[in-house]
Amino acid sequence: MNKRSKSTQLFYIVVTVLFLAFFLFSSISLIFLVFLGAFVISLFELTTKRQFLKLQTILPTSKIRSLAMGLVEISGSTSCNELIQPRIGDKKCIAYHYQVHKKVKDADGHYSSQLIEEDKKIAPFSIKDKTGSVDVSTKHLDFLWLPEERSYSIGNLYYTQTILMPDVQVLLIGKAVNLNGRIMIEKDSINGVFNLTRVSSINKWTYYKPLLNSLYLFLGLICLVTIFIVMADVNVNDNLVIYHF
Amino acid sequence: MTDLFIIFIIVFIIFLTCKFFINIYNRLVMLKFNTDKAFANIDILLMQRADEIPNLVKVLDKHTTYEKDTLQRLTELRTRCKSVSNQDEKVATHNEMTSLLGGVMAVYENYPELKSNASFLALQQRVSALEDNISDRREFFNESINLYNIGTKQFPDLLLAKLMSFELKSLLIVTDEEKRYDGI
Repeated sequence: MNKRSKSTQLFYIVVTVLFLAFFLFSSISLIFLVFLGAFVISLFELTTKRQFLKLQTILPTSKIRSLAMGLVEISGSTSCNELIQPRIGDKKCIAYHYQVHKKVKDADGHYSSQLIEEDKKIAPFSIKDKTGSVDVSTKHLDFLWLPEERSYSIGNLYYTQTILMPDVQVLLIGKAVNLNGRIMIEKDSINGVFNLTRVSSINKWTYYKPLLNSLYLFLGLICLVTIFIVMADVNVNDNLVIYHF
Repeated sequence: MTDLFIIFIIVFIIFLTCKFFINIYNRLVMLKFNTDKAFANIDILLMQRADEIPNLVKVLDKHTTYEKDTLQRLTELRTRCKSVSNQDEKVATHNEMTSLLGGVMAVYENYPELKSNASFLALQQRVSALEDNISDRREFFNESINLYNIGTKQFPDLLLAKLMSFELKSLLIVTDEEKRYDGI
């Protein structure tokens, strides 16, 4: 079981316990505790995506010709000798991630999406920059923000597919290893990161992240002030509203 | 408002502050270790280049017209970069060596007898190959240093960087030869 599924399980356990406690003891503080618990766990949840986004701001980009062994960040265009056939469409690609979701209705009449089929295939490929080329291991490689290609729906079934095409500028973080004189990038077991994304996507992320941080801070402050106002004792005397904190 | 709620708020704020500073600390430590790794990566090549200096002195010594002081200074720098352990001092030594070596290697244009000297030409080829490799790794090293320097100087990271005595680090310079554009 990976780090993500462990922490997600922990998150669900804590939220369930707190909600049960709320219904048992009917305390408003417990509602707050539920949100606090959820927030704290989400802060510590170590997803590979979060780790990748954090590392890409810290790691300098290496030239492929002079790669040092260990954790590296490389940038270049993708190339592949034997492209594969995706599940949707006939345009051959380097990798695809195909998913089928089913829209299901529960007893209360609420709709939710359920994953009923998943298929992910990656052909052996390499990344090249101006100085050289390096092979990328296909094992445990995660993609981030790849474009969706020809997704469609029939009835209550949704068919989605993200693909990686050749000659796309990408950014990869992984571990450089020397396998019998051949340099290869594979998953870094210490940081648990081996992600690839398009350079254009990561540029957008870098551009909008500070704005997103400001939004989170602003929303956090609004929530805090709202909680204070809602939970404060209020008296109305002669058209005068008095809050007691 | 319940006391419990106020305690929650205080604990929450303390927690967020701690988490914030832990993140900054981890980020600074990683940036620092990245620069060390990047330097270790280039240091071996810089030392190989420095090891070519005795051969260079041997070849150029015969051509007495060339400045003896420069060769003497190069020899001193080679000895110094082998003895110093501080990364910044090493970088400063290699930077000076890079400038002097650039001048020495360019001198052959003024000396026709050097152009036909097999030892000098072989030496020049070896240094040139090393310079190509150094150029790639220098870019990586300078990027690591740049990220580290920005990390230690931006607010609020600089508060923790000061506490941890994280100082600015020097970049490896680019030679005039590499900066020069000879046209198409």
